[in-house]
Amino acid sequence: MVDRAQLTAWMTAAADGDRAAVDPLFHALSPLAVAYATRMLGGDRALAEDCAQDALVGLFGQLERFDRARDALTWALTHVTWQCRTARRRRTRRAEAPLAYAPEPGLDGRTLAEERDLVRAALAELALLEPRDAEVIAAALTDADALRDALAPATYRKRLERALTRLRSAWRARHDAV
Amino acid sequence: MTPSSSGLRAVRAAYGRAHLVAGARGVAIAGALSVLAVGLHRTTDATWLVAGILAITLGVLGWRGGPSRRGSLAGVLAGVPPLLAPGLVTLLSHGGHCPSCATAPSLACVLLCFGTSALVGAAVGHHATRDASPRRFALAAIATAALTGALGCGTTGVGGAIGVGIGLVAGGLTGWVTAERAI
Repeated sequence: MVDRAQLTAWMTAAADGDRAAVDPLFHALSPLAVAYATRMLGGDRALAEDCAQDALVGLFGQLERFDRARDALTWALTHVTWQCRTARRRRTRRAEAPLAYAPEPGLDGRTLAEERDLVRAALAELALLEPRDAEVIAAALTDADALRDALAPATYRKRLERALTRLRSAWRARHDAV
Repeated sequence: MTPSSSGLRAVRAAYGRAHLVAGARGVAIAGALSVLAVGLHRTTDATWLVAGILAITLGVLGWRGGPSRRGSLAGVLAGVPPLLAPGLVTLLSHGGHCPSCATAPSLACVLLCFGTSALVGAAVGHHATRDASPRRFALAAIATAALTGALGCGTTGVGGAIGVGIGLVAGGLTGWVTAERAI
């Protein structure tokens, strides 16, 4: 059980220049930050540990800004959230997370094979698109919302619509069907 | 080395670095104030002594962090009026030149130093009561305000420096008591 009052007390003391509060605050926050980041990053423990550490380094570097009226854990997890979002955005940009195929349960072998072929063909088609188009389609299919946040909603919709139109045309040209 | 120990070392380093940067910022502020004082007023050995003490004080208080850092920055702001006041008085009353001010400072200068210091002291005292650590904030603020003010008012002689000291303490206490009663 997390003692939020104790966390806030340690963070307040550290923000006030009490060096002795740094170690217990770190030991209390670190496992919470890693667990939270692991959940945010879909179970990628190694990346979560990196994100949590980067977030805590950033947090301890700007403890002076801590508003003692706020909850320390919420503030710390806000830092972790931003770090995880940045990591996800980087991962999407580097295409480290290829779109994964997750078949629906209960499909028979033949349907499953057909569906797998379709997905493989769609991914191949996606790879032939302009990176700009592939990026917006990938963002729409995954939970990567960095691009969505970076663009105005209307711009994002328009860009997605154009990318899908180009994907459809390319598919039709190659497979003669939609 | 476990991830936890390397993480702890990293956050300790980040924490220490932030405090060092704050200390360096304090020294830089003291440097800027000293340049301003040298530009505005006659320079004596006392000016350099006060500038040195101000640099050390702002550096240490900035490095300590928390209310000491907040108070020191508030004190610098509070010290600016007494820093500028003698220059303005000299400009207006002596045509920009007052060779005898150090030995025989005008009553106007001393009163102005006292008056401006008392006013900003009251503001500091009032503001200090709202801080989470009012005493540390007030002590840091009074110390840096007195040194900043002394960079200006000190050039008018001992009378000016005493005016700043008494003004800040009297004003600070007044502001503190007034704010406490209002709560």
